[in-house]
Amino acid sequence: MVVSLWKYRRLILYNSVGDLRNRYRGSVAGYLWNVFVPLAQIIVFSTIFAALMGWDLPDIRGVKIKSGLSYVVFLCSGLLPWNTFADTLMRGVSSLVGNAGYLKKLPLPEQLFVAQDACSGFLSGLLAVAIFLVFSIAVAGYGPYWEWIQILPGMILLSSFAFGLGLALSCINVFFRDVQPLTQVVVLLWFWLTPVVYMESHFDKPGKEWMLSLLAFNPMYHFVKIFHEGVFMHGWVPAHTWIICGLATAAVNGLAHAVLWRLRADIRDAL
Amino acid sequence: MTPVKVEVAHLTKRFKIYRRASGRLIEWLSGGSAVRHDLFTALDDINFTMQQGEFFGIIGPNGSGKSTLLKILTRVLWPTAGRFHIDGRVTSLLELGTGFNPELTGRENIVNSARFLGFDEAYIQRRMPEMIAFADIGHYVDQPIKYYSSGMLVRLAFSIFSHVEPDVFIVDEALSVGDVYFTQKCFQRLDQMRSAGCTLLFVSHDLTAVRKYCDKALYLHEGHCRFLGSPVEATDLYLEAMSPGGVARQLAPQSDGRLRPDPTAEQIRARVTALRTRFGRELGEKFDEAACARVAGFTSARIGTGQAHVVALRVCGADGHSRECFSLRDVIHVHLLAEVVADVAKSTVSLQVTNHMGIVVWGTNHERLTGQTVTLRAGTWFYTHFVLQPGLGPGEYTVDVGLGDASGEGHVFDRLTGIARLEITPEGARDFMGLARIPCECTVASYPA
Repeated sequence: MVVSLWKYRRLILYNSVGDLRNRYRGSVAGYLWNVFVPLAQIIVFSTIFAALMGWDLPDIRGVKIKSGLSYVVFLCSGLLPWNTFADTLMRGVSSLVGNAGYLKKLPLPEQLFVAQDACSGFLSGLLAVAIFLVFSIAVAGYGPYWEWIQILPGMILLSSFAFGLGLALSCINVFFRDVQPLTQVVVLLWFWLTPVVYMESHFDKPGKEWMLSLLAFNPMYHFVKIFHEGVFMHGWVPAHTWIICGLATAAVNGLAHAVLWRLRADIRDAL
Repeated sequence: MTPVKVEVAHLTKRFKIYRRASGRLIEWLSGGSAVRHDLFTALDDINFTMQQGEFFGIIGPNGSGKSTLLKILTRVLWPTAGRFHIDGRVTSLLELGTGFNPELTGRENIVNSARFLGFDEAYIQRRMPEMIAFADIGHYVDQPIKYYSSGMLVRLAFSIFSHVEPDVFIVDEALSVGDVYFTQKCFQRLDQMRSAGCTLLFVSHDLTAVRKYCDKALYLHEGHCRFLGSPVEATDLYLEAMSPGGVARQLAPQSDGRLRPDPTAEQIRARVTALRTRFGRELGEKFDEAACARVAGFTSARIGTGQAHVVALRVCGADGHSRECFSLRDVIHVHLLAEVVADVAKSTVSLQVTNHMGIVVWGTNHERLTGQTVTLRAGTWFYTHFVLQPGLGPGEYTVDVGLGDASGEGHVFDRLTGIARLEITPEGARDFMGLARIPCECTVASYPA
């Protein structure tokens, strides 16, 4: 699955970079929108949560963030990677159907288009996180830290996870177009089942421990944990988190491979 | 022996047609035990081989499976059964500008297409000047292709695909979009590629091009191979099937695609003897051994359902001597003898003259001329005598004859395209110019002012 993509590495890279450029093509600001949109998001969060609602987090493990902005830093550190995941997944699900024009005419491997979406999702996600880091240093007075380097493997792993899941669903979506709206609903539910806007310590109360133990089965919990631990807490992410995320990525990609292998002969007939 | 580049064996493609989207879900959930689809056979047991340097044509009406076959060969679709093997790299011009990005310039699209085809950048950069020169679209090459005309797009697409040195090159109808000049250029390029060892697969509705360029042709009809062999025969069969009323006809070609086995020399002699003894001098003299041999030896462009078949044909002058060279003033006699195999209530016999450009100059049939149809009885001989008055202009012509149904079904029992050759010499007074002489009177008068 990955081997056949290697031949098209240039195409993937070129098209995903081109995607960043083309997404806002025709606008006056052009590719600057790639910077403005995440920046605006962060500013909106800061305005609402810090200035209006006055949400703040108690100091945890000696994290020192400019008063009032700690929640925004926490939120962004988890939300931006989540958005990357959700964006990649949703685009991946509709990828095969959306690229039917190519698939019906060119002998390109099916996974190429999902890989392209994952790659461009990864790049724009990385850009958003980078902007957030600049905000964190400049506005919140937080960082930089060496531990932030973990963002890179974290994002790669997360994108690979989204790629696998997106590919498997995309194949099924060719036959049942219900998969795409269904995924949208599931991702929304999944979002609230994952501690992104709230902290997992919410469950750390008597009578709610079962929710905490249930969280362990949510792969996204572990992925978000990489960013909470690595960025917000500026600590080294525990090895078992990396291992769980790695296994989850391998599992969904194995699944995607099996699904693709099984449905391959029929996919282009049904497009 | 040139190596075989493409080998297709028992290739079959069936599409599953679901009436409802839920049908597939039920099938999946039941593990395949509940069948909720209909099968549509797009290709049924297709077999052929293509040798290196061969120009192979595929013809057939819309929906006959041509595109499906090409898609399988380019590995876009998967065959349901059978197998195919292609030795070397296939490049296809399946759809005009697939993979083109309208926002990018021609030059950028060349690079982009190359990426789609999996080529490395350096190779494309090396071939780029050649491609641009061939496309010949001037300064447009540096403009976004959304400003291109469809002709320019084909030029660009053809240039790219034909310059990446494929082993097997698939060309389809896209080519017909270009102007005459470029189409010519494309065929020249295809010829070059062929001499360089490239094998070409050409799908077209342009039957003249198929006849002109292809070495071999496959005629597909509703997913079946109806004919495989000479392009002239294939296109003739196709034209016949597509003629009004001919669509529903089931021509029943034998396994090798031929309608009738070639008669042996003995059979011909036996026929002539039979004719002479049965019809005595009268017919026997009209249809000599040469007249029979001409028809028996004519196997290339002959089609029909076989209710009756032509056994002898003779073209002669007013003096009764066989000839093919006539002057402008000569009357031409065409004698035709056919053997009736099955009873036919209404039939007719036709004659047609085609010039060297492939244009039908004139044609008629017995029904048109007399307003009457002929009843054919099985086991009888059917004789026709056409007398052509002078009128054909100087030049070379071929003669087509045929026997067919006149009840409106349009079936052709036997048609021989180009069975005889005619030459009209310009000698003698010529009172006209152009293709044919139309009886004309001309009077002049002048009046005082």
